[in-house]
Amino acid sequence: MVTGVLPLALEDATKIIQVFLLTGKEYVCLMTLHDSVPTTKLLSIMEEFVGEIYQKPPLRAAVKREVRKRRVYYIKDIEIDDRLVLFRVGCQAGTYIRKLVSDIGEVLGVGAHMRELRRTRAGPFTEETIYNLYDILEISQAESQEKREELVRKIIQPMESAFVYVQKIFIRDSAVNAICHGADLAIPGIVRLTDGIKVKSRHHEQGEGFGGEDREGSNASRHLSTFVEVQDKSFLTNRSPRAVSGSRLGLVGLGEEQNKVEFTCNCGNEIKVIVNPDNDNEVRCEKCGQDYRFYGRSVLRW
Amino acid sequence: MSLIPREKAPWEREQSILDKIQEETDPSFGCIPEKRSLDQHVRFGLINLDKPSGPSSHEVVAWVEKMLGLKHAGHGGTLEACLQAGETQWSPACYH
Repeated sequence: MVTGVLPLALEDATKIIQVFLLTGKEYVCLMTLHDSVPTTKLLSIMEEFVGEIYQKPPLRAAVKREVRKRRVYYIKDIEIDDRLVLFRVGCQAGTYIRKLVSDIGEVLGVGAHMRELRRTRAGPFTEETIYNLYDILEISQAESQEKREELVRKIIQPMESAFVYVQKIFIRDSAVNAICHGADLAIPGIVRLTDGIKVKSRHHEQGEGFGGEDREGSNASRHLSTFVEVQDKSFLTNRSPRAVSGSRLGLVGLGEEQNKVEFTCNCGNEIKVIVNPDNDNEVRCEKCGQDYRFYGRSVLRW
Repeated sequence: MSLIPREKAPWEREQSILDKIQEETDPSFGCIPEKRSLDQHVRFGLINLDKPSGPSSHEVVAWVEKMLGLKHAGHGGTLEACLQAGETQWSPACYH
């Protein structure tokens, strides 16, 4: 039940798909809660999922199942009808909305699932310029060449339209040839550029395609690192039972205290963890063996 | 209301262009995007497609390729047919 904006790139334009893959997305999502929840509690918990969140890709994901840090830009236009919650979410590329919804459910303690999803935006592409498969069928069935040309010009956009929100460097005509043959861009070759472009050393750039808007400085090149920094590997587990209902213990800190969380285990043991993206998001109490996991920015007991 | 530092979505940010030097490009090389021939327009084209809920993103791409007689096409960002990654059960609604 997932519909909406799907940018397609044709023939030679396929090369720019990397740009789409890195652009932020916006969705309208219908969430079903598995039990009634007070509105204020629901809203405050949904608020927590805005900003940097930790997310483990689901089982059938296309990427490695390691916890990733993802940015949710906003959750807005929330409409609530008992257990049905409709909302609009803007997020970084690679945020799994179905997972986000089920994580919200876990943090609320009642559970939730995604009922319907529509992507309303992918980078510069919104529902305003959207065409469906019937419109494309019309192109192939156009009775005259003029009609076909008119439809093609209306429905198909030039590939440059994908770059609206991407940071750009405009270069001199005289630099084009060298760049196309793999030369480094030198400062004299730059005519103008958009703000917010970060310079990285060449070694860190390996394997990076476009320095798109969603790749943030050093975080981008650090594709894999550790999530829970603990010496003893026995802390890390792979079991996945359900969270104990309503067992929220702490929030991962922000600002100065970023990535740090402290909470007290049932047995009285104080646990301090430094949370980093890209690894297992579980921690086990040294004394009693109780497991804890991170959802969004919350710590839940298992 | 909250103290959470917000970052604006890319489409909410304002992008400013810094001019380093004034230089115009020579129009006799390359082509202005809007002025491509019909064939070129398709080959360097994008479609903002409304994906229906039944087929997978890959199926949709294959249909468009066939309809427009293209050699190759690709899509940006998979929208699952109905079973998003991570779901454990196939719902019968998927086959509608």
